[in-house]
Amino acid sequence: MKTRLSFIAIFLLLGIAFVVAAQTSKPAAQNIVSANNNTNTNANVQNTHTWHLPTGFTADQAYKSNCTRCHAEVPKMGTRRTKTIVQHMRVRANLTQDEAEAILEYLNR
Amino acid sequence: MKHILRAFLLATALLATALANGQTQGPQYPRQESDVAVGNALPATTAPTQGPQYQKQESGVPVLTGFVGLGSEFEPGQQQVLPAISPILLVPIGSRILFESEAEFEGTYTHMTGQPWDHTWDKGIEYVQADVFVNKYLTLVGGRFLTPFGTFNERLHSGWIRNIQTAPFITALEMTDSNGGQARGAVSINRNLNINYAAYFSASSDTDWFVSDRAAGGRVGLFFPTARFEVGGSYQRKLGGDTRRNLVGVDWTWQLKPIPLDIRGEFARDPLIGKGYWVEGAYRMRRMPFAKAFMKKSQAGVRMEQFFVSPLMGTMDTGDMEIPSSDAKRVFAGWSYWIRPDVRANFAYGREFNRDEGDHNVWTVGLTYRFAFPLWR
Repeated sequence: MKTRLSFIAIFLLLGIAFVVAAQTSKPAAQNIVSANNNTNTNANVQNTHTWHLPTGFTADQAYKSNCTRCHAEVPKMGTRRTKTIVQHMRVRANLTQDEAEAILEYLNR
Repeated sequence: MKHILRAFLLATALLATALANGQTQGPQYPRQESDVAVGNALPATTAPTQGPQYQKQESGVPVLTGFVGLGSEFEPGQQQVLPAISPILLVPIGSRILFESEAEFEGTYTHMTGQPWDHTWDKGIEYVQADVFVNKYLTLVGGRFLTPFGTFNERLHSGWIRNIQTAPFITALEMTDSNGGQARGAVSINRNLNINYAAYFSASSDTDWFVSDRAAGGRVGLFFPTARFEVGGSYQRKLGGDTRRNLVGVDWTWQLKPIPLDIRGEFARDPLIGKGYWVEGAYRMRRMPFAKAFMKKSQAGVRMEQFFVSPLMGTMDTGDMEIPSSDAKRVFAGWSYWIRPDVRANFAYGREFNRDEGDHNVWTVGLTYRFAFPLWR
């Protein structure tokens, strides 16, 4: 039984490792643009507003598909408080970094 | 059990290696957080040949948050008033480290028919932990933390979040704390799938406020963002003393898109205590065509749950676990109303069907205030 559990644990975590490694070695996603290639200032700013989110996903959708699963109401608060709380929620709700950043922008609008 | 611990350590090392490898070979994303503005970027006047410049983003500030609540529960022959306060301290250090801690003080003032009021106060540290954001995919956690088994314990246990004030039966199996370490994170696989994970170990402790079991386990969740559906599986191996055993759990959450309805539930099994499940639906009433001002701030919820006691439970010291002594099922219907976004009133009616204790009604009324103060500006 113990040996079987050991194998399950190993395969589970190796599976995660494999997926992570595969994810990080992909070519840059189309919605991630190297900032160095941009010459237009507005375009630069716009490009920093894109994350490695599903195609067509906006900050609004990142908020709706994550936060509202548990929170029916989210009180509005200051920018710096919001940043701390989003950091906390990134751990608590296992958000991806990109989701957390998109949600932060949504909440600070 | 050494096999499992060895396997855990080996796999964690492999995972860290893979992550480090991925970090060095992966695409170069625009720098974020600490040195590049993301949310509040302002255009900088840069020459076309220069790289872009961004205004430094404001850093997070230490926050004292949490909730204050007052609940009451009425059953035949018994009335309870349940005050609670849970302060949460969040202290970010740069963008890579976060210290967080929650204390919980829960009072139980009980009146039994024909007897005077009696009261007790439970005090405890829910978590006091350091989170290190190693990279996009890995966060290391050390200290005392909420055991990542199912979703209720980590995400829904706070009184100002849960839809029905009374916790489901099976949360007695999962609402525990662990003292040790944890690796967790989330990975976006493609537009339709995120995988999130948590793996942990915990040492045994009998110290007041820091009680925990010797255990190891984890949870893996599959989140489908476009469908707004998440399903997770949890596993825990209790390692202490004569009661070594495996606990398993499954959880799911689904937010329907066409209507403002959330459906969630969990299943958990402890071979020595029992098994059970709960399913809950919550419907935001904002689309109701009448009493719009009231309905806009209201939510209706229903919950159904069952618990099946293990034949072995008599051999187990269940302490103060709030579990039924025999097979039971319970249904609840509740209503929540947000007086303000941070102040919620709720009411629920439930009926419990218990083989040994008999059937009875459960009424709950509650008020919660969620606060969040910056500790400095």
